[in-house]
Order: sequence, then structure tokens, then C-alpha cells
Amino acid sequence: MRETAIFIITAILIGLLGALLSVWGNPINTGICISCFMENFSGALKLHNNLLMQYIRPEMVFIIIGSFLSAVIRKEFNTRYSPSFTHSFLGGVFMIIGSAVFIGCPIKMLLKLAGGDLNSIAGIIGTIFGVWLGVRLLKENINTSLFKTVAKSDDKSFFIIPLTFIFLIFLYFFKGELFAESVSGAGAEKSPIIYSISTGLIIGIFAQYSRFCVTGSIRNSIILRKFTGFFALALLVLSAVIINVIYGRFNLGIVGQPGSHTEYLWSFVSMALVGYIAVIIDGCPFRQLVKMGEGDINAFVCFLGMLIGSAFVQNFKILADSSGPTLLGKIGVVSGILIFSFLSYNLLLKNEKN
Amino acid sequence: MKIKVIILSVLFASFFYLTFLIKDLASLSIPKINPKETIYLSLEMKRREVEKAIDMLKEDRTEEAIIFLKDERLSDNVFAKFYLGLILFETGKEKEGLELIAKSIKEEPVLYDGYYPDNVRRILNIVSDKIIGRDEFREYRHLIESKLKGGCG
Repeated sequence: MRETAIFIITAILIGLLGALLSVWGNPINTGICISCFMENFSGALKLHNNLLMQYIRPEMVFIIIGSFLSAVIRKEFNTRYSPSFTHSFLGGVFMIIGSAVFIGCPIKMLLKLAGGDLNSIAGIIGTIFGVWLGVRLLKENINTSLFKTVAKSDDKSFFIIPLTFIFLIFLYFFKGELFAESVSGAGAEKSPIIYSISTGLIIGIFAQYSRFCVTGSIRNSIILRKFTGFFALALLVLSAVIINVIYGRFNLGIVGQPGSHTEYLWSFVSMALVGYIAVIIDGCPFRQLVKMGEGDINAFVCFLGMLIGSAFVQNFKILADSSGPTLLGKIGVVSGILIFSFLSYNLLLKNEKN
Repeated sequence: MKIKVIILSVLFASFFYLTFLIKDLASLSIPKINPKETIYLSLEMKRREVEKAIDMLKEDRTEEAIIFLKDERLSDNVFAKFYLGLILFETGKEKEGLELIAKSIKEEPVLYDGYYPDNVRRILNIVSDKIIGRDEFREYRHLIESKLKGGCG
């Protein structure tokens, strides 16, 4: 009961703070969007050349730090891994590509809906479909050693990764010129730094405690037929709607929605890909950050995939804008489907052999 | 000497040396690419190339402005594309004009960026208002309004 309550509180906090971050200065409907943050982050590290998408995004770094602190305090920091590194890395790359073609990660998808953007419904249906498909794969009792987690509770070597992020943010404050920073475009739209830090920390701590995950909530609702997850997501949307209404930012409709296109088939397919991958690698982009803070090496590998993916997305325009996905965006999504079909088929073959 | 002692000594030594180096970092001058210079200056050069045409438009010399903007040397100029689209839109060739306006704002996001002093947001707002309720131009209105509202993508 206590866990359910914390889970629901986390969802409400993400809704409230996600909408508020937009009010405070983040791009509209993008208070929290891990794929956008990753694109900004890789730009800040000079991994791509889009001068409009470069910012270190303290919210994202402090989600990792918050999760790390919470895990350490609650004695849940645990270096762990499974041998499925290929899935984790490619999952990271293609979750970012899928999100870029939809224009938003699963959390932004809900925040867009809370802003009144009805175009996001195609993405929501796609995510549910993708998660359902992933659950079908899981139900085949894939019992290969590939996904068996090895936990090393006495091994603290992974401490070095969250500490690296603390060092990175220290460098940003101490010598910001080291990093690229946009003066125009979405990368230049930012909340006051103190709001970004505190929001990231709060969300990181609560998300570590509750194990909140958008695709995980849908997955559990499908598997366990308990709809707490769906209920929490509905509350996330509702709490963001309240903030948007209070600040006059709720604009129900289809035409003219910010950061949104009307190519519903591509919204559906790209988010189905994200949902499917998230089930296989156990967590949406947001959850991967939180798991990384807890000592999950696979989540770190996924983070590296997301980092490379976001640089690819911006350098080669494997994305969409308000007029729809680019040709390379479509190629990216179809490639993701092809690669993950191959990996899934391979898993099923292994399962049959076992 | 035990290896443990050696490693610990190296660890502490490197930690202190790193702290020392970071202290020096503060005085290090890093050649910084100013994105404002990179983006705004190149855009400003393009805008100056079509300034004559903008003046012609203000003086209602539409025909002359069209001839000026259709010059092949301006084929890569995003401002030329935008203003030619605007003229075509205003002179009845709405679809053709909107297509060019859409192309130009997709090609150069800074064109409608609030941070850029010579942005075309005001004109885009007027164009968008003029096509409200025109079903055949719905996708253009979506594109223009969506871009004006900002956000990622």
C-alpha cells in the first residue's frame, strides 16, 4: 500500500513539476523530456553540430544524482548487470530515434496530452501497442542467460559513474565555457538553474524510491491486470493539466500544437518501437537514468546508446518537425523495427533450443 | 611494499594533483565559438542581400521585388525564399506562396526564433491568421503555429 502511494505521488510530482518547468522557462510541453534532454546534453558535449540544441540540462543530471543519493541512503545501491549489453546499447540508440520521430519521450508524450495536444494520442496508442507486443515476447518465458541479472551487492565500483556526473556538473558550474550552450532555439529555453536542480533532485529521489516508469506502468497493468499504473499515469496527466489551466497554457486541439506533427501513422509506429524496446530492456528512457543512478550497468550502457543516438539524430536529422518525419527519420524507425525483430527472433530461437 | 599501499598512494596523489589542476582551470582561456556570431551573422548577411527587395515591398513595387528575389544568385538565400513566398501568397498564388514560406522556416529555424532580432514572427502570425478556417491550408497553419509556439522539434 505504501509503495503504491509513493508510486502515485511520484507520478503526480512528475506531472506538476514537468508542467511547471515549462512555465519557468523550459520549452513548451517539454518540462521533462529525456530524449530532448539527451539531445541537448550531447550537444553541450559537442557531439553534434545543431547550435540550437546544446545545453547541459541540469534537470537530467540531477535525476541521476537524486537517484544515486536515494539509492545510497536507502542501501539499495547495487552494482548489477545482465549480459544483454547489445540490447541495452541498441535499445538506447533506437529509443532516442523513435522518440525524435514522435517528438518526445513517453513522459513528454503525456505532458503534450496535458497541454491539450490531441496528436499525442496516436503516440500513446503506439506505446501501449509496443508494450503489449513486448509483453507477448516476455510471456514466451524467455529463459536465456542473457537477461539474468547478476547482482554484486559488495561491489561499489560502479560508484564512479554517478560520481562522474557530479564532477561533470561541478565542471559546468565552475567552468561553463567548456561546454557548448545555445543562445537560440529550444536549447536556449531554460528554467532558472535552481529550479532545474531541485526539480531533478526531487524527481530522481522519488523515482528511485517508487521505481516509476511510464512503459513499466503500462506493462504491469497488462501483465498483472492491476490498473494502478494506468491510474498513476492518468494522475500525471491530470496534475499537469491543472498547472497548464492555471497558467493559461492549456490549448485543446490538433492544429498548431507546439513540437507536434499530424503524421499519426509515424507517431504510432515510432512510439510502438519505443514501448517495445522499453519492455525488452526493462525501462523507458527516464527509468534508465534512474536505474543508472542505482548501479545498473546495463542502464549505463543504454545511456551511452542514448547519447550516441541523440548525436546521430541531430547530425543526420533522423527526426521529425511540425511537418512530419524526415526521410532519414522514417529510415531510422524502420531500421529499429528491423533490428529489434531480428534480436527478438533470435531470443525466441534460443528459447526453443533451451 | 604492499601493492595496496602503492595503489592508495597513487590514488591520493592523483586526487590532490587533479584538485590542483582544476584550480588552474579557472584561469585557462578557452576559445569559445559564439553561437550568436555563427548563426546571426551568417543570417544577417543573407538578410542584407535581400534588403532592397524588402524596401521595394514597402513601396508596393511588387513586380520588381519578384524579379529581384527570383535571381538565381539568391537561390540559397532563405530570406529570398521567405519573401518571395510572402509576395506570392499576398498576390493570390496562395498555395505556391505558403509552400515557399514553409520551406524557408523548415530550412532555417532561427528565422522565426524570438531571440533573433530580425525574425519574421510578426509576418508569420499575419499569414497564419489569414488562413484560419481554410481547410486546404490546414497543414501550413499547423506548421506555422506549431513553429511559432516553440518547443523541441
